[in-house]
Amino acid sequence: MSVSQGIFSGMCDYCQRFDLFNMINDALLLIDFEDGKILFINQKALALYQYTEEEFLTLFADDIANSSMRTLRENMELAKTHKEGYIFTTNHIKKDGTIFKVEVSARYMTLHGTPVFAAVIRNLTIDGKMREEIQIAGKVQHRMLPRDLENELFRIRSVYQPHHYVSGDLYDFVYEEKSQLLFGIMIDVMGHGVAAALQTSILKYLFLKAIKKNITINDRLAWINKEVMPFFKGGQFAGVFLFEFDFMCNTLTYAAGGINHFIILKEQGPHIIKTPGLFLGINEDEVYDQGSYHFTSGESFLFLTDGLFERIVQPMDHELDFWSIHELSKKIVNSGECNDDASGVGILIR
Amino acid sequence: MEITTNISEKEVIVTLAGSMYVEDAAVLREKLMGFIESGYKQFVIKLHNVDYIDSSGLGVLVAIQKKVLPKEGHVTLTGAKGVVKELFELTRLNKVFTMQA
Repeated sequence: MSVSQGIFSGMCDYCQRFDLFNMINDALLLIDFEDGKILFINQKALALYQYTEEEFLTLFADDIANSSMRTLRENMELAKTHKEGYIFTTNHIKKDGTIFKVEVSARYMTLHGTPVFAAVIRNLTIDGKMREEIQIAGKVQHRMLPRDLENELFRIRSVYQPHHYVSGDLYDFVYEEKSQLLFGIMIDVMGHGVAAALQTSILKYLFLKAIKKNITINDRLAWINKEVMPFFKGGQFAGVFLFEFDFMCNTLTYAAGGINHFIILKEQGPHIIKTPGLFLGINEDEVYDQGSYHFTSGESFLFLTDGLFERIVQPMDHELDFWSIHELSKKIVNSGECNDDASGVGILIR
Repeated sequence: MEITTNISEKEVIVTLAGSMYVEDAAVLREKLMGFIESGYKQFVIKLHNVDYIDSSGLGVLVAIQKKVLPKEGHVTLTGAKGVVKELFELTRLNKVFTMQA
């Protein structure tokens, strides 16, 4: 009796568990550890490699692996020594000759006395494409950010670092030279990933519409909140901070919705300003407060999302000035230590 | 962060202790979503021994609230104090949740 017949003959209760393998959403192979013969494949494997079951059971592992026999054997030996399984990536070949990248989760086991290499195969082709798309989306998102501005009234410096390619953070600012008004928004959508990134775009769009409305800043925030509600179903919400610098009367006005702190760097040192306000996307009829501050030349303002704020103020060095905080912020976001999206806008009054 | 749960008359009582950061929030979310998927919609979250909670932690609580409210469920937060209480007041989440001493 052949080894494979030995494994499957009789269809004992134990073997009937192989029926369950067709419920797995990945390709599964059982390979004779000694000679590499393929002993069992599930339905997903048939679909993936495009062989019939009869064809498959005549094949050996090196018929589907696009690597040298030596590499294949090395991987099988590693699966034997790693008691809890061994994961590796490699290339496999379909019946039509297509080579594709796979992740193999492998384990050495003994079935009915026969040493077997059990492998769950995950096709990485789709994953790779999605990752590429997300990387491109991240670059598009980055291009949506405004360039740092500088004129005779102020200097702006910003930092931005997504946690993973795309960000739930965004910021924007618009300067109207005629009225000498600088409008700005900080956005921190809860969560990461593509959905959060899309929601930041919606908020940016609403911000640009809101600043054209001749209403108070807190009413603008309330309007944005109302407009954004349909896009925040299922437990999502966003932290937002609106600010407006009026350089004709040297006044900053602001409204907070979930981003509830900003920092003023005065001559005496940094001051953290706390200002209450509910996240956007929770209560459609929320009413927001408005704060104001009369600024003077030499002062600077830091508007930071959570990811950066929590690291900057831990605790805050009173010797830090606008430029050193900018350098510190860049160092923090580039360090890889942030486990959140991080962004910030600094405005120095000249 | 320590998370312990027990059920009392269809109400899930969640006791949290320590500081809640991103990773802890993810674990809490998984646990609470599991209860929601099993049909529970009344939650009491005890914060007496929580000394810090970041925005991701707040996010989990809000997400759970948003999930259970349409099902006529409820989330009650008890024992928030110090920095945690201040955070709920600052973010006005004390108006969104039922807060008890």
